[in-house]
Amino acid sequence: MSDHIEDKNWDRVSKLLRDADCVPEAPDCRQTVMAHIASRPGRSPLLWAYGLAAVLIAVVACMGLLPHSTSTPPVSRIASKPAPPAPNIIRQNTPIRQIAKAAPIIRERVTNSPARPTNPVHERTADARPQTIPQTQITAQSPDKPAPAPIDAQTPAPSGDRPVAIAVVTWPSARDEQQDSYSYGYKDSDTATGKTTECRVKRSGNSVEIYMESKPEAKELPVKGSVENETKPSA
Amino acid sequence: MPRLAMSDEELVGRAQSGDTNAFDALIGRHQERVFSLAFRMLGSADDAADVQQESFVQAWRNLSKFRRDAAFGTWLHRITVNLCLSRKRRRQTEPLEPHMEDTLHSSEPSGVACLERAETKATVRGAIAALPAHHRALIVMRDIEERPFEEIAQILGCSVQSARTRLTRARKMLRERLEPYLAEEDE
Repeated sequence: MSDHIEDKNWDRVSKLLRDADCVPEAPDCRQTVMAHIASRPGRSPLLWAYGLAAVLIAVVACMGLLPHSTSTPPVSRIASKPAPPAPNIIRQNTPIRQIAKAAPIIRERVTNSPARPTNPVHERTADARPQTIPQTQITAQSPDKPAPAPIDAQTPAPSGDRPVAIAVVTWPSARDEQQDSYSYGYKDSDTATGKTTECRVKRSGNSVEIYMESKPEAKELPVKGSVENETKPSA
Repeated sequence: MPRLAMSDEELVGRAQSGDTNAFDALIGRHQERVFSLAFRMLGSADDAADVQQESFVQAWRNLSKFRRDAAFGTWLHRITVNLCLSRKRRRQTEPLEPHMEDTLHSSEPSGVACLERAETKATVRGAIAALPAHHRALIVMRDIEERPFEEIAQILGCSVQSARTRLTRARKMLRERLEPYLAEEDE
């Protein structure tokens, strides 16, 4: 053999290998193997069928569950959560019950996206404003007391914010609290100061957002032909 | 037609169509060679018996993939060698002196000559067992079982030239291990 010629000493090693080779009698494995084989054929197609059935069941379950999950309102989930307590400052300064009795506020629940405040702001006149909250109302007409300094001077407003004229907050009823997101508020025009005050309370999940803004009355455009509108003739 | 008279190809064809009796006949024909190969590779009769069974079970499972490019025996031995190699890979510790007890308890003439002979066998077996598994496979198939290179290449899934090169390396390694014994014998 050519590979033996390459190694002149290999014949000796090869002889040693053959001498050392001793293989015990081979066991007859036919019965064991055939028993294995006999148990196999039925199993493989069954497993395949079971797998297919499991996939089909999963698909059907998903198809059944998906519409159900989207159509279920989150009322039950929200109802279990207690409403968050009102901030301390507002709770102390505003007699909630009295305000609610004096001026019932029309509420409208926001059912669309909470980022879009669609609730209407109710216009009210200054006379219709509740008279039971003189603490929070900033007025200059009180005869007994000196006129309070402008709110700008009392409390420096943060940059970008405007002075708040009035803040009236009422808390919703138990039925409203079961809703996921709702908001309400009002807007009034003070005839004495000419300020327009807007207040909105919006609750979404566990957060309460209070929006209060006071604007000076919008200056009307001068009537055409009036003195203000008169243009000076060019020289 | 009696199964004993059938060729391997005929039996394989029948077995591929689901005839378990044909496969049983194939097991009867090949089980001894499969066991010998596994025993020489692993050095343990129990392991060799396990591999023997597993080889036939895997052969039955993959019988549909057998394209008859090679002889059934070659394909079956390829399964056996792969099983032996993976078993060796799993077991890091290899027996250095396999079936030493078998040799000592074999029915050979007693005396000093017998002991010396047993020692020689044990040394050679130890040297083979210490080889890496893929080198051992080549030594077993070529130098002990005297298979042609073409068959070895098919079993190992390599070219004939590659099988030759690997065998040269395996022999060199084995000779180095047996060198002290050979030198002693020369003296």
